Order: sequence, then C-alpha cells, then structure tokens
Amino acid sequence: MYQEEFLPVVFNIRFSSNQALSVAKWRSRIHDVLHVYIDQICENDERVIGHIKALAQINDRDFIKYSCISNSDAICSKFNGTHQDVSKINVIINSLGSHISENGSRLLLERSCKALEKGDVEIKIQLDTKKNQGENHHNHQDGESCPICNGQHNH
Amino acid sequence: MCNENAITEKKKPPIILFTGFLGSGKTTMLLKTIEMLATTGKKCAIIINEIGEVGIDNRQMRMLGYDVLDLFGGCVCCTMKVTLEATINHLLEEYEDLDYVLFEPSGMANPSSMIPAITNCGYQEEEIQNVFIFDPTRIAFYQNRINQLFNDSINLAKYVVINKIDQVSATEIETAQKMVELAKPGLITLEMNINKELSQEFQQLF
Repeated sequence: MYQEEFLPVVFNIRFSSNQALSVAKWRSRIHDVLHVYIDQICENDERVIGHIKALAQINDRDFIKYSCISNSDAICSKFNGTHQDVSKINVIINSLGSHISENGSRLLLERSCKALEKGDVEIKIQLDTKKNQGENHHNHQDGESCPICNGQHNH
Repeated sequence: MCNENAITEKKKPPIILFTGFLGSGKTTMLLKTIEMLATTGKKCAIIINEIGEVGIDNRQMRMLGYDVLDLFGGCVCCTMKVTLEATINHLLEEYEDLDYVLFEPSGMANPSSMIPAITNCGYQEEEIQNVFIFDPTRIAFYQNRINQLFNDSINLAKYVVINKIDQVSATEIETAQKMVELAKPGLITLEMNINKELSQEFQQLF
C-alpha cells in the first residue's frame, strides 16, 4: 500500500581483484560502498529509506547479507559460510526509498563505487549499466507451465 | 448420515503469516521459525512476496537450502490476491504432508488485502497465525507515516513481536507496548531480539 511512495530499484555489482582476498576484507569493502551510498541518500532530508538490502554471493552457498533501514551507521551485515579467499563477488542491491528516482539512486551508487576504487586500487567494481529486466517468473522451470497463473504471464 | 464434505476435506496445514513494515525483521523471524520447526521434524512450505524486480530474501533462503515459492509484486499478469490464492491451492494440492505454510508478504503490503485470498483457500480467519513484527527503532515513523498500516496490521494480528529490544531504551519498548494496547487491547505481545533467538513464549506457540 506504500508502493507509490517507496520506489524499489535493483542493482547488480561485480567486485573483483587480481588476487584472492579474504571474505572479511570483501565484507568490509562492500560495507564501505553501501556506507557512502546511504550517506548520500540521507543528505536529502525528504528522502526516507524504506529498506536497503544487499546480498553478496561468494559461491552457491556462502553469502554476506546487508540490511539498513535508517542511516549509514546502522548497516547490519551477516556472513553465512566458511572463511575463504576469493577474487570476485557478485552483489545484488535492492533499494527501497522515497523521493529518489532509479537514475538518481544509480548515480549515487556509481559515485560510491568510484570512491572505493580510488581508495583501494586492488579492487575493481563493475556496476551493471543495463536496467534490470526483472525476474518475471514465478517458481517454475523454463518450459514448464506455471502452476500459479497457468501461463498467463504478460511478458 | 455422513457429511461428504467433511470426509473429503483434507487437513490443512496452519498458515503462519509474518507481517510488519520494511526492515522490521520478518525474514529473520521466518528463518528462525523454520529452524525451530525443523528441529521437531516439521515440514514447512515458504511463500515470499518481495518488492523489487530481483529478490534478495528468496536467494538467501535458497542458498541456505530451502525451496521457496516467490510472489513477485511486479508480475503484471496476476494481481497479488489471485497469485497468492493460486500458490496456496497449489501447495495444498501438491504437498499433502505439510505441517505449516510460512508466508512473508512484502513490508509494504496491507495484511487486510491478503486475508481474502487465504480464506478463499478454505481457511477460517482465526486459523491464520498472523504474527506482526514491530520495529521499535521506528516508533515515530509508525506514528506519523504509516499509522494506517500499523492499525490495520495490529487489528489482524494474533501475536505481536516487538523486535530489536537490544537497540532501544526501556521507554521505547514501553511506548511500543502502549501503541499495541491502544490499537487492540489484550493482544499477546512478546519482546525479543530476533537476531539472537526466539523467546521461549514464542516457541511455545507452535
């Protein structure tokens, strides 16, 4: 019922480095990007953060989940998996905020990524340039008829 | 004389509905509840409705090894109500040995819009175990911005969990309790830090 007030936007980011880094270091660096991103969002008093979530996928089972509902000092993160060194991590950010457009949000995120790259030359960050096409499916495999809406997807 | 409907009617698994505004702790609560129910061998189905074109919570749950049924609010082919109803019916038809259906709607959805979809599947309103998760770090926000959602949610809730008690003062917890009591006197209210553990009182509910 607040869908018109809080606009959901999704970003995919690829973090990579030439040599494998510890999960703890990735956790901290991704936190830094989110910190700067959220700081910028909060600079405008009109904006309200509904919920900003991020999932850093280390492999098929291991992940770091981030969650924030207010300011950048209150970003919670939780690591699930085994400690290891990896050279790349994909991160999905699902950002729900008011008074900020998708383009505006993307601009702030791009700035935050650039700020981290400047501060840590080991790390490369690629923010997907295309807009998300979405996951316009329910819970069925490709080719199977959808048990939910009987194949009446409008896409 | 036998009632044929009574004979053919299958026992339906209870639905536990986790409601609450964005970021209140619904996903964590759902995960902790699954862990709790799994320790006693209960078989649960999970339905998630997440706002946004790409889900985070559903991915997290799949990475933890759970099968999840997604309801994407952005899917224009079905309204939320029809999709939810079809999903529940699908579960009831395909999985006869389910002990519970756990449903986490989006934090922006008004629970009152979901109840008809559930009752259309043969459930009575009183059979829906609606747990409202209240974030006391956002009391002013609840009072000033989402008061209607708060009141609607409390009115339909069977239990209220005041979460994040480690992050607020005793006064804020008391204010949260008073808000609940004012909206629906006598409602069962539990205080806990879901991130740490589910309270004993909550564990005894299911």
